[in-house]
Amino acid sequence: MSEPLVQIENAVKRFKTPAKGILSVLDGLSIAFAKGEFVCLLGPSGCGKSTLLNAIAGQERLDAGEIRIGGTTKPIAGESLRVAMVWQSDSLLPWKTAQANVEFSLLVSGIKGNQRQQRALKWLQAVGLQGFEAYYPAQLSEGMRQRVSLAAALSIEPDLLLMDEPFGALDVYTKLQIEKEVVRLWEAMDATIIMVTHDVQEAVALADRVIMLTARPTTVAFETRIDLPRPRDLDRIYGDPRFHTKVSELWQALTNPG
Amino acid sequence: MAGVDESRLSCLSRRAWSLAAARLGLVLLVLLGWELGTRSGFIDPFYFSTPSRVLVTVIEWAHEGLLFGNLAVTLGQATTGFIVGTLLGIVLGFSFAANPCIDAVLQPFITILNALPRIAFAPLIILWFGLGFLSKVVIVVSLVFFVVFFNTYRGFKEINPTIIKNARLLGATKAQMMLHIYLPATLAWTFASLRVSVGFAIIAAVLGEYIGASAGIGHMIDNAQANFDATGVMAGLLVLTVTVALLDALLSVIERRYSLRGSR
Repeated sequence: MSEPLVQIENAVKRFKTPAKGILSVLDGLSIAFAKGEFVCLLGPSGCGKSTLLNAIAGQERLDAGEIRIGGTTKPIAGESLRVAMVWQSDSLLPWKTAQANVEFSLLVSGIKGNQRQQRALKWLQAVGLQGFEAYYPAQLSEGMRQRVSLAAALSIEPDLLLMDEPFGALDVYTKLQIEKEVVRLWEAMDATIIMVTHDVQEAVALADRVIMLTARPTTVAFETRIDLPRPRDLDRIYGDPRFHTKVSELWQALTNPG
Repeated sequence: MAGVDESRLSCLSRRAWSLAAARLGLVLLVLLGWELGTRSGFIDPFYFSTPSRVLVTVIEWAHEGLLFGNLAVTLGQATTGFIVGTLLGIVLGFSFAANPCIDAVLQPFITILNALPRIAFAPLIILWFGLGFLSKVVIVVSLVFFVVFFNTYRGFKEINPTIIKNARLLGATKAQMMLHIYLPATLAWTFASLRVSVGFAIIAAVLGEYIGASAGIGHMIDNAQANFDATGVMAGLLVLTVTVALLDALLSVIERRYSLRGSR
């Protein structure tokens, strides 16, 4: 493993509780993510996974410790290293069409005008939304809106893609369809993906490495490499015995910690 | 599929027609009852006039050139006040929401001003700004401003924080955030308030004319009332009602077209 793309060292984050107590969410957490890796973070609800992701995205300040991305702790927006995020809740602009939403993320990322339209169309097609370019978010289903968010995030060709339970609210069928797109598209690019999820099967099916976190204050409970072959065919993988062995191994670890 | 949809659509439009017919029927019934009631002596036409007389009066006003001149005065005041109040509301609502400092200092005063019964101030405003055009405009502004201000302010504050975080992460500049996020989000709310404030604008202009004016529909109503002319009052009210209803219908068409692309 060469120099990691994202290195979290001794991250500490505390929140004040309404009862004037202090809630320690992260207390000396250290994780490294290699370049080009697809990592899923699993853990109980409220264990600080989203906080961690927001901190990597630079939207949440740590109380101690540091996060180095591409070897620097400086704010990460810029030409040298592109970071995008697919959020748990809708991040689309309701007053812009699907296409205009993707073009907006290209615009704010500093992509030149004549490329924006072409790239937006290409990525909307890549996530299976051709024919819906002129639709407003309110006219699209939840699954389609998450596809638009995904297209917007991928269109800037990020070096690092953060995903915070992006498909948590979707039904099983829609989820599988989008997961397939994510795997197919990611395997064709060299982005690093850090994805928070609750879904053990999803984690095993998508990731190279699954990191299991403990309850607050969060530490790494357990991590495992998913050595299923790439490229992965999700339709087939759900029938693979190695997949089920991994899933039950993780379930064991989740239900019987320590 | 298409056949089913079509038949449902035509069923809907048939229902819309019968609904309109039922409403029209109800109006005609009331008017007929009113007319017959006065003719048979149940209702005293001195106090309540009759539908036919009201209609005749409106037509007479139109012939004498009173109707459109006075309506133009009222609408001119309402429109000017509406535009000024809306612009002030948008600009101040936006600046208050965007600058926490201004907001913290001035917000309580705005709330207090809004809580004041501004209608009770109308006589003072007439005293300060005279009997003419300006005083009515000020009264209209004082009503319209607050509706637009609070809606604009709220629109800014209700922007989904994820949208802002996402844009910031991608490296959006301040100007891009303003142009693509804050402005459109806020204006959607402002727009929703305009229909309410159009009604307010006309009410405020007429109210100003009641208190002191030399022209306008409100002035005509006030004159008629001073002469115990119930028909004149009713005719003025009829003109105002039709005007506001037309403006409201116009705005609802614009609003529907706009909200199709707005929030769900």
